[in-house]
Amino acid sequence: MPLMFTRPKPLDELSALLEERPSVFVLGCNGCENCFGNGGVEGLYRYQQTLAELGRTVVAEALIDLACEATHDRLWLDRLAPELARADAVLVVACGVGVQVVAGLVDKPVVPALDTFSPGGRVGQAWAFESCAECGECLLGLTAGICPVTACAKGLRNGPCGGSVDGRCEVNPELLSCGWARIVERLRASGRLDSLKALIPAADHSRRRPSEELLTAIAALRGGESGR
Amino acid sequence: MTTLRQRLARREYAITVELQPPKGSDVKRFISKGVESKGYAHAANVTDQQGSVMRMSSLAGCALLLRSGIEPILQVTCRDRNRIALQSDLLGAHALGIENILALTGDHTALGDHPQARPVFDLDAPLLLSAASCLERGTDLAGGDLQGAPTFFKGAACNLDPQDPELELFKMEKKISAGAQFFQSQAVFDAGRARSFLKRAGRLGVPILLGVVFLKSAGMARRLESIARGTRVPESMLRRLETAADVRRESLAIASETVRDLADLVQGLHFMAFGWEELIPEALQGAGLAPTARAESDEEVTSGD
Ligand code: SF4
Ligand code: SF4
Repeated sequence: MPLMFTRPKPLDELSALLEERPSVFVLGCNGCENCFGNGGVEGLYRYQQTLAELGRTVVAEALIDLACEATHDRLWLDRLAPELARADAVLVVACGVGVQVVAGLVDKPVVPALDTFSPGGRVGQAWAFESCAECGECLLGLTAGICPVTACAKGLRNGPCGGSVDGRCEVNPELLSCGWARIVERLRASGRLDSLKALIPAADHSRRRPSEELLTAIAALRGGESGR
Repeated sequence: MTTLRQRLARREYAITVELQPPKGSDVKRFISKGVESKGYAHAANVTDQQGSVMRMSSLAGCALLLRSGIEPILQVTCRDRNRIALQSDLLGAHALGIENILALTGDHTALGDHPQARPVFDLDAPLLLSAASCLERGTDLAGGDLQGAPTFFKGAACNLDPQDPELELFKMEKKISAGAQFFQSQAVFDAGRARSFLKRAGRLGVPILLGVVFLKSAGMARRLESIARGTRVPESMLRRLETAADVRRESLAIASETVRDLADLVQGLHFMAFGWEELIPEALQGAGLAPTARAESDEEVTSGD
């Protein structure tokens, strides 16, 4: 899969995703070298502060070894089940893959704390299916924790196209499920289907690109050559 | 103001027909179909490489129709053009005198005759509608000022016999808030189910044109379900076509019955005839919407201006 990086989601986006969700359950991730600099204990600490600034209460927090591993997530989610039950949302301080795995395990709205993007390059092919395309403006908080960029053949942002029939995708109904049908199913199960009425703005493809700062850092590591 | 817009605003029935530009440079047949359509339709949709099969552009097709005095509806999909190209085409369309648009997401490139092509989908149907609305307000999607703001009559597609009615209503609402001013539906073959859906969709307050397709055979009906996904043809219809002595007559009868059953709940008809355009006047007559009556009311519209 492509090499992943994360950066904190802009505060106004995070605040919008937590609107009317006063109590927040926070999960951090220790994996991928502390989520590429934004996870680990420091990540948890940062979001304690951020949530306090946004006036939200942290009902519980846990640091998971690898948020992208369901067994690791379950360990903490089970142990903290009573706290989870009191939460209005689960904030996951991890990459897009971790957020999606957590979203598959809890029946609360899951909010990504970070945006996952790619500086270019690839690491080992660990997954048969790509579940995060490093789009740099994580939508998982609006799409029930399923990524429409990778799970929809067209990467659509505003609901299924007319080709979605019986939960299958028009591109290959035999082999491909429709990602949006899965999102719809999960939103409906949690009584949030009407959130589909709100228009998700067009993708900001400029956010896919690494920042000047990161490019400079990579260039320094590579001896003055950013490779782009 | 376009005739389509005017008629729908006055709660008058509107008839539209879908025409495909040629795959090639010979436009004679396309134009003659357009000229024929003047006898029964108020406006003609020009498809944007339907099914992802490469053809002449819908923009060129609309310009050709306009020259022959036919009011065009520009179908625009998000399959091939990013937001820069889409906005640019919309500005061009308006400058050429094309104001009716039908904003579609578009089929995936994998389904067409160029599966090697890159699918774009930088926008989707609701975002394309909001892009058109944005241009009308005098700015582009990036917030830049325009020299002259266009006006459009913006349409969107809908399915009147959806598997998931609640979801379809949400999608329609979203399109309306993004700027949709009319809907053209996919073909309907189960008038009963469409009736109950239309009662709910009618409350959205945006005119709906009922999609009509002539089924050429039972085989074509089955293919239609995979080409125009979401279209559902009941078994009973397939049997009627299989056992019919004259398939054209039967197909015409099926279409007229559906139109008659639903006419009171829609504000017009949208024909997708796939080569059987000559059946349209008869279908209209069969449903009590004779084309001659249409021509008269059309004169009223023009003399009223
Ligand atoms: S929306 Fe999808 S591609 Fe974008 S960061 Fe989130 S998981 Fe990754
Ligand atoms: S059928 Fe579903 S997954 Fe496939 S392109 Fe349409 S919305 Fe996307």
